[in-house]
Amino acid sequence: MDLAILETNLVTGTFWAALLSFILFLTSVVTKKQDSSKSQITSYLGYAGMIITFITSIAALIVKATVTGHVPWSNFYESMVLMAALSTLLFLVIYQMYKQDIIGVVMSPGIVILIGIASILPRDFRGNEPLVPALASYWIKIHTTAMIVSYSVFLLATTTAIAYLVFYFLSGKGISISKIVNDKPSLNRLSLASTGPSIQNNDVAMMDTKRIEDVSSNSPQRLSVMNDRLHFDNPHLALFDDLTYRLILLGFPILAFGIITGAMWANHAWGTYWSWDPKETAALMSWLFYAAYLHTRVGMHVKGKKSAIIAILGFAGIIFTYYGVNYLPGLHSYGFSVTN
Amino acid sequence: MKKFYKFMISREAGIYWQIYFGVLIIVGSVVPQGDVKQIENAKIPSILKSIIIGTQSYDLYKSPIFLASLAVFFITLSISTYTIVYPIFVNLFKITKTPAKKHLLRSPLLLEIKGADFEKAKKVIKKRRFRLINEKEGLLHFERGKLAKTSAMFSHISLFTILLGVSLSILTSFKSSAPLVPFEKISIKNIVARAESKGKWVTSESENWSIKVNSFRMVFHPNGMVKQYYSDLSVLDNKTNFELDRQTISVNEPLVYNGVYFYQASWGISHLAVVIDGVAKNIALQPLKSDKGNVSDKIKLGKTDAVFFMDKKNQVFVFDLDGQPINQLIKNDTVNVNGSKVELKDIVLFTGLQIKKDQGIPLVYFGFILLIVALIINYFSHNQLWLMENDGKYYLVGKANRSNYLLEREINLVADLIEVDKTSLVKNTTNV
Repeated sequence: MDLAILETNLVTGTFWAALLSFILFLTSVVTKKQDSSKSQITSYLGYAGMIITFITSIAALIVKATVTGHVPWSNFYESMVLMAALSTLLFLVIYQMYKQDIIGVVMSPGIVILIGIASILPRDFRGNEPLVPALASYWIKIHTTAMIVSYSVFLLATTTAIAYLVFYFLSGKGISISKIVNDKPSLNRLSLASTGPSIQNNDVAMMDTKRIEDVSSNSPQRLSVMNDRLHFDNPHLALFDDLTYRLILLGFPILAFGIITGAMWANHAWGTYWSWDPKETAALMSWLFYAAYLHTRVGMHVKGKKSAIIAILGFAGIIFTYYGVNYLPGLHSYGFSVTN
Repeated sequence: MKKFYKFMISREAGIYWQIYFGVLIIVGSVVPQGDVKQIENAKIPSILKSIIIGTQSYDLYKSPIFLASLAVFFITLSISTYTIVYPIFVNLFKITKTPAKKHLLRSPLLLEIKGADFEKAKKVIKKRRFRLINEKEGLLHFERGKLAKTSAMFSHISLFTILLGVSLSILTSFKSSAPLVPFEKISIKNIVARAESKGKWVTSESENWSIKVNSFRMVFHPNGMVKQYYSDLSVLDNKTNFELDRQTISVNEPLVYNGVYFYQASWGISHLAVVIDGVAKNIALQPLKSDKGNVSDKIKLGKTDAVFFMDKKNQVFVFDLDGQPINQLIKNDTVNVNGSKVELKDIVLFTGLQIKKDQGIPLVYFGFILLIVALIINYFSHNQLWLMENDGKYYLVGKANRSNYLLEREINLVADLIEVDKTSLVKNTTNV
């Protein structure tokens, strides 16, 4: 088989596997019996689908590297496929830690959209051209990889931040999530979400001020994070807030490392570590927004809705860095399209 | 005023600074930088135009607004480092204070347990990597991860180091460029003299060497794309012409001599080497604005004037002044143009070198490393744990400077290990 066709088929396969996983996870959380601790067959299948998503995306990258003879993250398309692969891998780890199907429902759409966009990109964006001289350096393996890893982490952080806001507003409108989503964050993993009273329709709207008056005495996880519980009555909201925070905590230094190694590469190749190039400055801007996210949590105890909004703003900066600035003149335009 | 001062050195102000610089950078990314003419000619509302020009947003990073913001930021950072971060650092070497029981009882991370054997608890909690730092009657105070408190210190120091490095760069660096054809030589003094930017402390008095281009070549991929540009450079002693160093540079592989970096930055067409009626001449070419090729000034050929033109495919033509082609020139072939015999000997390329010296780089990189260290320390949390007996009741109390979530898990675990009797969670509605 022609390697180019094989690669296209693998990316298409990645898309369908991720989409199928999303449907399976969704089916799982909707059909699971209330308070049942048993895992559904759909859970296993959804997880298996994500494993296939990871394998096919990695296979596509290997094929691409074979065709081009260089690292498969030198242009827009390749970096998107790699990001999808890394996000999927991270999802698999998170799922293993939390064992919550709702995480699959929330995170897989981000991967589906990412790989979906990659698979419909025009040929100009998917070229098999060799590297331009500026990219022919070992730094591409350090700087570019770090940036893509951080973007992958932030992609998942954004899905949970969006999920937070969606659940928040649905609950505020009196739509009972507990009736729709039967898969509650588990007692073992998230004590802050486990010991509280079950979700009441209007609790969430009040949660920023509500204090916990009573905590179940029979809970196996006895102490709940009071600080968090002052904010979260809803176990899903607590889960999403916690996941967003932890993912940003993970992605933040990686982004910093990516920006710093980018500066070092620029100094090595062009003789200047900072040129105020649009991509450099946009990356710095995103980093500052995520820094603000972390500082507001630690320093000002901002959580929940406000935190989720800052996290989404940070990712808007990432999208601008990754995609938007390519329409501005700058030193990084080669990564966007071969026609540039 | 006092309130304002307190706010400016607070962590909250730091957050607003981050957002403020983030917004400034958005402006810098969206507004084309460097040339005011671009803004003047842009099709944007005149009010927007005057705001951009008035605030110097077209050259934002050198504008008074940006520089003043940086200055204020570093002043407040210095004050907060002295008043907030430095005391934290000093306290690292002191034993952490133990709060009174009544304060601990108001802690949000408070768990009542049925009972505990303090001696057994000491061993169990120590096994959880906690250190016993104080023991009073009915109160044990443990802590772990005290170094996690150094994160702010590292990040502040990293910012100062980067600032110092950048300042040193401004004073000691120079940046120059030189388009050189093969066998052309330029002295370092000349390079410094024609530098586009030069720090006040830059001097080349003691430097007595030159750089010479031995050759320049391009290597192509099979599809015609450029694979790499190579310039073979020699460093020569000015007096003896002795070759002090020699290296073939390419993009990403500069030559470094005496702290001066030579980068492969660009290339271009310098001139055509031709023989006109037996006389060798160099015909300089300039790129056309339309980017369709390079063209010479008018040259007398026979009885009329003509121009030499080289297209993007490196084909050379002679045109009359009306823009009509007269003849095409092939390398080493003699053709007749208006009665003159013209032979094209060579198309001579120049290599564009970027030359730089910057003594601030090591400091800036050291600042980068400190910043990464600070971010890694950020992962860790300073945790304190108290086992307390008060009015016949037993409590486990926790305090973390970062991850309450993980400490809460730890407290649950410790409670399971040390508790004499199973008990329930304490109801704690006190606001802390």
